[in-house]
Amino acid sequence: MTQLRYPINALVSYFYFAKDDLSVLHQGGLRLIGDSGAYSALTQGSKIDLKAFAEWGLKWSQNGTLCWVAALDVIGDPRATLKNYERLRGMGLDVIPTLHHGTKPADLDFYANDGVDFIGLGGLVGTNANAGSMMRWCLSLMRYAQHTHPQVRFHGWGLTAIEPILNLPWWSVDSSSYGSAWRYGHMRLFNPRTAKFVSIRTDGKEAYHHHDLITRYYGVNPSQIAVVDHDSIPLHGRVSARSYQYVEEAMKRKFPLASPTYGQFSATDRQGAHVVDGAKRHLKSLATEGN
Amino acid sequence: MKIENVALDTIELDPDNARTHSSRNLETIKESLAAFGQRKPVVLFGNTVIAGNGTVEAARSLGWSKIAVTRVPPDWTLEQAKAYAIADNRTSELAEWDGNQLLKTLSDFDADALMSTGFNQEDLDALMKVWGPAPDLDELYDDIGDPTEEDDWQVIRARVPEDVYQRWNECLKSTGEKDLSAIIMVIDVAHRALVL
Repeated sequence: MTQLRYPINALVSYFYFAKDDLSVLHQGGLRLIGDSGAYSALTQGSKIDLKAFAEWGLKWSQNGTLCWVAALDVIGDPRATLKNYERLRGMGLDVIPTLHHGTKPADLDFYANDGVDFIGLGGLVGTNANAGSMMRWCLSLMRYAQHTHPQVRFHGWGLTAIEPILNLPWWSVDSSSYGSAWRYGHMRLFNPRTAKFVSIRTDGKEAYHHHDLITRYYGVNPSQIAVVDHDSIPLHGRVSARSYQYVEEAMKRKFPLASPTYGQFSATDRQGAHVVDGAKRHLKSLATEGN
Repeated sequence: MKIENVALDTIELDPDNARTHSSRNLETIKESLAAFGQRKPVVLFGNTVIAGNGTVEAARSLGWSKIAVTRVPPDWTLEQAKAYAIADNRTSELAEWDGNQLLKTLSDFDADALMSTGFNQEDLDALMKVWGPAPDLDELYDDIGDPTEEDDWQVIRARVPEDVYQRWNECLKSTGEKDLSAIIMVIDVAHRALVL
């Protein structure tokens, strides 16, 4: 059986979880952060209502169910992003702002001078194919922060490439590759011995080629996860969550950072790597295990 | 436990051995035997190896003629011998490395000593990545530098008919793949064609 360490860090989006009782996930052992899910909404022809999002964020952060809530950002439009940040703060929700790939380091100044010591770095998903580009930009921001605003911590949105995760001082990261087994037909498992992710197709054959990795580090037999179907999804979820926890362990070991203070609604240790999934039943299955 | 030296050609590998030895594994055992000699006896049931099949294979390929062995008690059944053969492998398989300590120890070795352990530089780099100290951001900057203009370039993906693809390739060949003027020219021509 795959040994998961609870609480499991997870990200929930307002777009998918607007009407859900998040305390069920929280009490089941998931440590939650929240965002708007604006990109998912956009791709599905919807729009996020800022006021309703703020109400959702306030409801679940005031009782500590959400550790923090990200602002509604607008990719490619820093002015609109800033406006959303200011409006959400005006509604009483101290949201975490995001800077997008390509932003100049000095743009950190505004937020840092506004008392923000926790900032997301985004627009990384499309650049994962070019880890060098992502590394250079993230490094330029973090180095600038280290010299001018050393209190600032960073969250890496959609960060799945291992080089930037293990070379840069992230407070937290998230990745939807947790669900790649049932969404794309391949698992993405971290191999702690080689420090690399291994992509394994769920075609009924490839898992057997990674017998040592799967049995040694994930505590299951390849036959249990060689194919993905409705019944196997909870196990695939556990295995994928464990994979990201290996990354999280290495990340926390390398960068034992002091916690940020702005926009933090829970006093527990929140540094970590968050799994993401829009399908409620997958996160609920992880939460059930934690009871 | 009595240890004796026997001729390698008088013993046979376990035909039912459930543990396979990759070429890398055999090379590692050879490196170890060459560096340290044989420090543990092979275990025999009759003349069959039930623990140490890899050692015997490696010793043969090193050209050794003899090997140190010990024998299971004479009253053991075949079933006991088979169970021991599995247990010998399984018990070591379930052990875990303490990555932090392993990194500390291996980091002190020179290249030859490292090779004799069965780990290589790639393994050491991976250990460093997971268990090593945090990199210094200024040193990292010295390695990778500032963001470049190309870092902001966007990727365009498009499916086009074969003839368009051929013409595109010819265009790139004549101007060079990084000559943006060629791409801009194509876009301008296409745009004018659409507008007119």
